Amino acid sequence: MVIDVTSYEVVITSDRTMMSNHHGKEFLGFLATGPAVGLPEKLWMWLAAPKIKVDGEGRPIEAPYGLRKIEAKLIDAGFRAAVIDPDHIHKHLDGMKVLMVGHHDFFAYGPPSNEWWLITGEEPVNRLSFMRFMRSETVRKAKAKGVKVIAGGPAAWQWLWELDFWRECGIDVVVDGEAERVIVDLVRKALDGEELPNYVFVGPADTPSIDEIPVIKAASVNGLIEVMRGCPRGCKFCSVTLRPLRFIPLDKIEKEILVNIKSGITNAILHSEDVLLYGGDGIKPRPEAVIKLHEMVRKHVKGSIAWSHASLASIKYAEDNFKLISRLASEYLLTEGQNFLGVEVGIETGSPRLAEIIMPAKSAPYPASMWPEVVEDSFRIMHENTIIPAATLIIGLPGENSYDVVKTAELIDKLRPYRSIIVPMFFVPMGVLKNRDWFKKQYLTSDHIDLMIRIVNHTLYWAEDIMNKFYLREPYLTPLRFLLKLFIQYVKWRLSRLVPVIEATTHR
Amino acid sequence: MLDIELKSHHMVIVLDSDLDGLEMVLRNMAELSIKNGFRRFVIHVISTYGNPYYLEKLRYLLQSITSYTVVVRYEGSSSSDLLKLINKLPSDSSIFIRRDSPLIDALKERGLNIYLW
Repeated sequence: MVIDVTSYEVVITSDRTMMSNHHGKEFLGFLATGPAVGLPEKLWMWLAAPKIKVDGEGRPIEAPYGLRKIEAKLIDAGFRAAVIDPDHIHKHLDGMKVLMVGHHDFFAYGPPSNEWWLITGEEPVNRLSFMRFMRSETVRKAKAKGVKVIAGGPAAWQWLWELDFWRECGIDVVVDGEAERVIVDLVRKALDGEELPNYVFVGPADTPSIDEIPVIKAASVNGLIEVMRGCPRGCKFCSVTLRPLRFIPLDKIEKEILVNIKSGITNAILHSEDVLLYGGDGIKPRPEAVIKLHEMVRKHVKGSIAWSHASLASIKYAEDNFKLISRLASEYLLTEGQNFLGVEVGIETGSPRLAEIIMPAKSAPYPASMWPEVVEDSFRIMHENTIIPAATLIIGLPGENSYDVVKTAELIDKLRPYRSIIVPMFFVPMGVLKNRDWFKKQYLTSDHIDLMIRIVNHTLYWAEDIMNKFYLREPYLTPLRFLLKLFIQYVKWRLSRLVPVIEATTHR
Repeated sequence: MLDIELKSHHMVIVLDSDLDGLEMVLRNMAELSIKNGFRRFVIHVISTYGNPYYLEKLRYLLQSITSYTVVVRYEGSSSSDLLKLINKLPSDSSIFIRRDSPLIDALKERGLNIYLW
C-alpha cells in the first residue's frame, strides 16, 4: 500500500525517550534517565516513555516543547518543516533535506542520568535509545543521500565529548543555546548547499527577543508551555541564568494553551525557572502578575496545572508576605480536577557557607546565611498546601568540603516531615562553572554516601505515600502503579545490600 | 556564511597540538569586546587532527566562553588551506599559532595580527 504523505524538507525529531508523554505523567519521564534497573529494557522503556499517538504522516499528537518551537519558527519562515515521530521518519526519506535532532540529554551526561550511570555502572536508557535511533537504517539512509544533520537543544554541548559518534552519524552542525535567531538562516544555508559551520554557541547577545519567539503550531508534551525564559538569580552552576530574563506575554501563553486544548490536552505545565517570578520585581514575586497568569490558565485548563520549577525563596517570600501560595492553591490550583500540584525545586546544598559562594542570590531576598531556614520554611508551606516538590541537590559542587556535606545531611533530616521527592545529583559543569571538572566516582567520600542514603530513605518513604494518596490514581494506570511499587521494593532491597559494598570502596 | 558571522570578529586557530594559548584567545576576545564592542566571534580552525576531532582540543575553550556567540568552522590542515583562508578573511582577523608550528612560515611578512604561544 502506498501511503500518500506530505513531503517535508525539514524533519525535526528525537528518540523515543523524548518523544513520549510518559503516560501523561511528566515525572515518569525521569525513569528514562536511568538504566533499566531490575526490569527488562523494553518494559522499562514502556514505563518511562511509551509510544505516542501519531497522524498518518507520523506527526506526533504531542511533541517536546523545544522541538515545537523550532518547528514553528521554520514554518513561520516558509519552510516545509514538521516534527516527526522517530518510528515514522522513513515516510519522509524522499523529500527530506535537513534532519534536526534535539534532546535534553543525548548521551546521559546531564543530571540525573550521569549519576544513575555512575552508581549502577550501566548506561541509562536515554543514551541507549538515542544512539540506537541515530544508528537506525533510516538515519543512515538519510545521511547517505546527503541529508544535512543538525543537532541542538539543552544537551548540545555533550557532542563535544562524543566525537567518534559525531563522525559516525555525520553530524553537520551542533547548535548550543536558544536557536530562534539563528535557525532559519542555518536551515536556509543547509538547503542551499552552503558550507556549514561545525558548532554554533548562541551567546546572550543573540538570544531571541519576545517577538522572535514563535507560538507553537501543535501540541506540546503534557501541555507544557513556557511563561518565562532566563533567571535573575545568577547561580554559578546553572546555564539558564546566563540568558536575559524575558516574560512571555499572557496573550502568547493563552494562544499556546489553546493550541494544546485543540489537540485534546487538558492539562498544563507552566514552564519557567521560577513560576512565582512571572512579572516579578527582580527577585521578589508580584502577586498581581502571578494571579493574572493563573486566572487565565485556569479559565481554559480543566485538568491539572503544574509548575515546572519554582524557587524556594520565592515560595517563602510569596506566602509570608502575601499568602500567595495558599491563595493560588485554593482558588486556582487545587480545584475539582486536581488534588495536588507538582513542581521541581532546587535545594542544591544545605550549607550556608557554600550557598554564599556558589548561589548567593538563590535565597534572595533572604540572606544566603538563612538558606537552610528558607528551604525548611518553603517545604512546610508546600506541604501545608498539598504542593509536592521534586527537589534536586548537588553533590560535589566546586569548593564543597565535609562541613558542607554534613550541613546538607542535617537539612535532609529536618525535611523528613514534609512530603517530597529529593534527588541527589552529581555536579555537572554548566553555567559559569562549565569549564570545571566533573564530579567523579573516586571523589565520593563516606560523608557523601551517608548523605545519599538519607536522601534515598527520605524519597522512598514519601514515594509510597505519594503513590498511595496522589499519583497514578486513574484506574487505567493500575498496572503502572503496580510496577512502580514493585520497583520501590526492589530499590529498598538493593540498597540494603549495596550500602556495605559502597562504603567499603569509598574513602574518608 | 551565516548572517551572524557577518558582524563577527574572525579568529584563526592553528591547532596542531594542545591549545596552550587558551588564555590568549580568551583575553583577545575580552579586549575586542571592550574596545570594539564585538559580541560574536568566528573561530576558523586549521588542524591536522581532522574534522570533527579538532574539537577535542578546542573543547575547553568552548566551555570557557559564556558571554559571546561563537561559530566554529573547520578549514583544513595544510599551509595552503591556511593561506587560502587568510586571503578571504578581513585583514584585522586574529591568528593564533604555536611558536614552533611548521605553518608559521606561511604567515610571515603578511602584516597580520598574529599571536604566538
